[in-house]
Formats: sequence, C-alpha cells, structure tokens
Amino acid sequence: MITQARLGLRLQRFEVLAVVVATLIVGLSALIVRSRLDAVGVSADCWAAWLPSGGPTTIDRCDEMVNAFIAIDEGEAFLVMAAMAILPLMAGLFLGLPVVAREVEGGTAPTIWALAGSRRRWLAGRLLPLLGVLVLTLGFLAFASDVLWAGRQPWLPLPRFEDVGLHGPGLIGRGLAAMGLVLLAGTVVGRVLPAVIVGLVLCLVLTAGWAFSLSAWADTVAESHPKDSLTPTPAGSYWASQGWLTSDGRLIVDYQEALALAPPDVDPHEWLQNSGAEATGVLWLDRTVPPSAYPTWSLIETVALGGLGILGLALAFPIVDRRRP
Amino acid sequence: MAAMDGDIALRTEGLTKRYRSDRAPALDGVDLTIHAGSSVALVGPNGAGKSTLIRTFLGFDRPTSGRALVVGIDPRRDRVAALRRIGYVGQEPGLYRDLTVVDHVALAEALRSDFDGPAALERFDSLGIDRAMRVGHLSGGQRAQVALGLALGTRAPVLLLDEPLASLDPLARRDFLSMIRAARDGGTTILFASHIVGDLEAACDHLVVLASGRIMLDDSIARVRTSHAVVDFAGAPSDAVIGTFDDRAGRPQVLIRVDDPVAQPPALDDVVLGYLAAALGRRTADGRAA
Repeated sequence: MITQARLGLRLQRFEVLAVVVATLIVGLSALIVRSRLDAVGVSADCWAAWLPSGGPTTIDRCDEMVNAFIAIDEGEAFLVMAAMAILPLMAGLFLGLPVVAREVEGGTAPTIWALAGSRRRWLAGRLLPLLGVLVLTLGFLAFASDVLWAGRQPWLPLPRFEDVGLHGPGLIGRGLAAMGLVLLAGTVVGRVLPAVIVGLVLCLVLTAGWAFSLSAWADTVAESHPKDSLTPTPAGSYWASQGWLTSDGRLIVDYQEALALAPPDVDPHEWLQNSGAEATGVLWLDRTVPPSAYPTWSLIETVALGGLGILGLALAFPIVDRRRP
Repeated sequence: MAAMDGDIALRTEGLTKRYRSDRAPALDGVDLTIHAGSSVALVGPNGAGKSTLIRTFLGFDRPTSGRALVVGIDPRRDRVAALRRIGYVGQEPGLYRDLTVVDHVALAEALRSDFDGPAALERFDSLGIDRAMRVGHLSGGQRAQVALGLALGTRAPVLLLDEPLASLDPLARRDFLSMIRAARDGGTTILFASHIVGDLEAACDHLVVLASGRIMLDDSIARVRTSHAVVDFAGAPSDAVIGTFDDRAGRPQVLIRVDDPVAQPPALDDVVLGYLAAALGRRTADGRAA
C-alpha cells in the first residue's frame, strides 16, 4: 500500500506540488498579514474612540494607526481571504480529477486494472494519499484563515459572522466536496478535459447550493431586532432577512405577504417602509444570526460538504468497478 | 464439470457481444475452447471481434449472451479471481511514461502479492533495458517488452496478447516473439491476436480465424497446413473451395480443402486470406458467392 501510495503521488506530483505550494503561500500569507495587523497596535481605547464616529479622535496617533490597520485589512487581508474562496475548490479539483480520467484517457487503465485485479483496492490505494494531502493542506489553510479572521475585528468580543465559508474547517469540507464531485465526473466521463468542465460546473452548483443552504439555515435560527437605531443588532451578526411583527404577534418574512397588511387606500411599499406600518403596530425587523452561532454553522458546513465529498468518492468505487477501461 | 474442464484454460459458450442493438454484433455466438498449454493465434480483420473476445475474458466487456470462462472462472461473476490467472498486454503498452521500469515492477508487486519482481527485473536486464530509465524514454519495442515482462511477472497460467506487435519494428518484434516462445515453452497458455500472420506462425501452434464476430477456422496450425491447398483460380474444384484471393503478384488464387496433404503446403498467410475472403463474400472459383 505504501509503495502504491508513493508511486500514485509521484504520478500526480505536479498537482500535489501545486496544491501544497499554493496552500503554503496563502496560509503563510494569512499568518503574516495577521501579524502585520497585530503589529499596528491599535489599542482598545483607540477603537472605542474611533468606531462610533469613524474619527478623528483626540487620542495620540489613534487615527493614523486605525488608517494603517484598515489599509492592511482592506488590501492584503482581503486578497488572502479571497484566495480562500477559490483554493479549496481548486485543490479538490486538481487532486481528484486525474485519478481515473487520466488513466482511462491515457490508456493505462487496461494494463493497470488487469494487473491489479481488484479495481476497488487500486482506487483506494490511489485515493488515500491524495486525501491525506488534501486534508493536511486544507487543515493548515483552515487554521491560518481562522487566525487571520480573528485578527480582523479586534474590537469585537467574537469574530463577525461574515465572509462565511472563507475560513475555518469549512474549507476542508469544500475541498472534499470538490474532490468527490470531480472524481465522480472523471470516473463517469473518462476524459480529462470534459471532466474539468463538468467538475467546474459542479463546483459552481455546489457554491450556489451552499449559499442557498446558508440562507435557509439562517432563516431558521435568526433572531429578530427592531429596525431602528435605538436597538442595534449584536455586533458582527449575519443579516438573514427583514421581517415584520404584527400587533397580534405574527412574524412575516415574505415581503409580498407584508405588503398585504397595508390598508387599501395607501401605497403599500411606502406604508411598509415608513411610519405608516409602525403607527398600526406593525414592527419592521432585522432578522440576524449572532456571531456566537458561527461555530454551529461551521460544523454543519464542514459535515455537509465533507459528507457530500465522501459520498462522491464512495460512488466512484462501484462506477470504476463497472466501467470499461 | 470442473474436473472435466481441468485442462481447459479458456472457453466461450455461445458468446455474443452487441455494443448497440442497431449494429451487427461484435461477437456472434462464439464457441471456443483453448486447452491449457496451447498457444493460439487469433487472426481477423479490423472489427472482427478479436479485442472484444480478449476484453471479455478480462471482464472489461460484459457478454450480451453466453459466457466466457478463464480456467473455469466466469469473469462476470468473479473478475478478481479470473484476472489472477491472466497476464495481459494490449496494443498500447499502457505504461506510465513518468515512472521508471523498476517503479512499474514495484507497483506490480504492490498490486499483486504473487508478482515475481526479481524475475521480471532479471528479464529486463537480460534484454538490456535500463531498469532506472523512465518508460517515456524507452523505445517502442522496449516499452512493449516491459509490458510483456510485467504480464509474465504475474506468473499467470494464461497470457492474453491483444495485437501488441502492431507498432513494433521487425527487430523489436523478433525480441518480443522470443519472449512469447519462452513463455509458451514454459507451459503458459497464450491467446495472441495479431494481423501479422507470419509472426504468429513462429509463436503459436493453433490458429483461430475470426471474421464478423464468428469463428471461420479453429484448428492446429499443423493440421491447417495439411488439410488446405492453394490452387490456380481456373483449376479449383468447386465443392472444395473455401475462398478466393489475389496473391502478391495480383493473380487470383483459390484456397481449397484437401483430404491428403499436398506437396507444397500453403503459407499460413494464404490460408487466412482465403478464409477472410470467404467471410467477406468474395466469389468462389465457379463464380458463386463463397
């Protein structure tokens, strides 16, 4: 098994090298950017003075330090976090795609499958080291991204529930999902380029589906807060939707349904968004998910995407067993 | 049944393979028995079904009807067990260009516990193949030899060769054939598909001619030589005619079946041409369809 793993990694050395180098560069960049943010040394007093008005403050060098912090945060940190959106998908695609598709297209499948006897065992031998590479590299990326993320909002007690999916163990889940889906595509299609196209489409569907899932989940756990400046939402909350609370305690989240509350002789849009609704006891709400819920979503995301990836990997086994080489 | 089939290495029973329902079958009710230790040349034009037959034994293609057996094992039911008994070389060597020869041997050892790595390496050394060289840097002939060496390293009782000579030069073919002969002399059962009949004659003792998915001839090469003759087109007795073909000079010739050996036995090439002509519906000596 070790020999097969070693030779399997050598057969995909360019892909493995690309994934390792890219994750090292991005992960180390995240750690370096975090240390640069910390090095600016904006004090808690400075943040407390600067945040309500956005400066200027009377504290010595406070504005200068905040501006330096914001420059790093909106420049380097933004770029590093943007890379986190793409890298796990690319890593899964690079590592999963060639395993079967290249064997079939390159004509090595008949020889190696005749030699191996059990194709399932052969596939397991090829996949395990690649899975190891994926989990290790994305694990490092997940750690580094969380370190950077926590450093971007030093004034908050908990990191913001924003930029979801760009940090934490969810990165491993996304990589696994991409790997499972492209392996499956490559196993069915049996050619590299068409499988790349199918794999990219699947990754886009995955990203869209994931965003939809987050929205659906957030709707179920969101807390309602009156939409006025007197009762601000908890700092760093994820905005799920708006809603309206009627005087009889009914919560309406559908805009069309809320419009139907307006009296017949007024413009319903204006009535709903201005003081008309409030005058009749309908309260306009922001529905948000507090940052304390992020670990729950992160767990759901990691398990769901990871599970999807493992399902894709598992489905590839019976297909590789039955397909023509 | 197992005891009765003890000396049978490969067998098909009514084997039919149809890739598409609106096309002619690739194999059409093929019944074939290959005894252990024999070396069988499988000849036929492109599309005759040679590769399909070999791929069915490997479990790569599933029969539409009938069955194929490898040492009594149906690869459809237990492909792993069937493949344990097969060494295989395809038309393309199917090796990893980026791995060295010794890497391939190590991979084969990892995949098959019974693989004889030292013997394979010794064989490569004796052929002058640098075991540390990447396969991509080897010549076509050397790559074919590595593929054959890996197949032989399995020590499987059956060797399936699917036109491995197609892209080799004469020198490489000679070296390849000497390895095949050594395997045959060692008792390995060989099914050797090729277009190059002259090469097959040197390595095989049995001839199977396949055309349009059907077996046209299945006999020992020695008997084929004594039971056939090639005569001029004009002098052929119509009731013994198998098929007509043009010789190298373009003269029409007729392959006939004879009861007694003729003074000058036919070349195997001509026998195959006669049977393929018959399969393709060429006219016989008296002008009727063969």
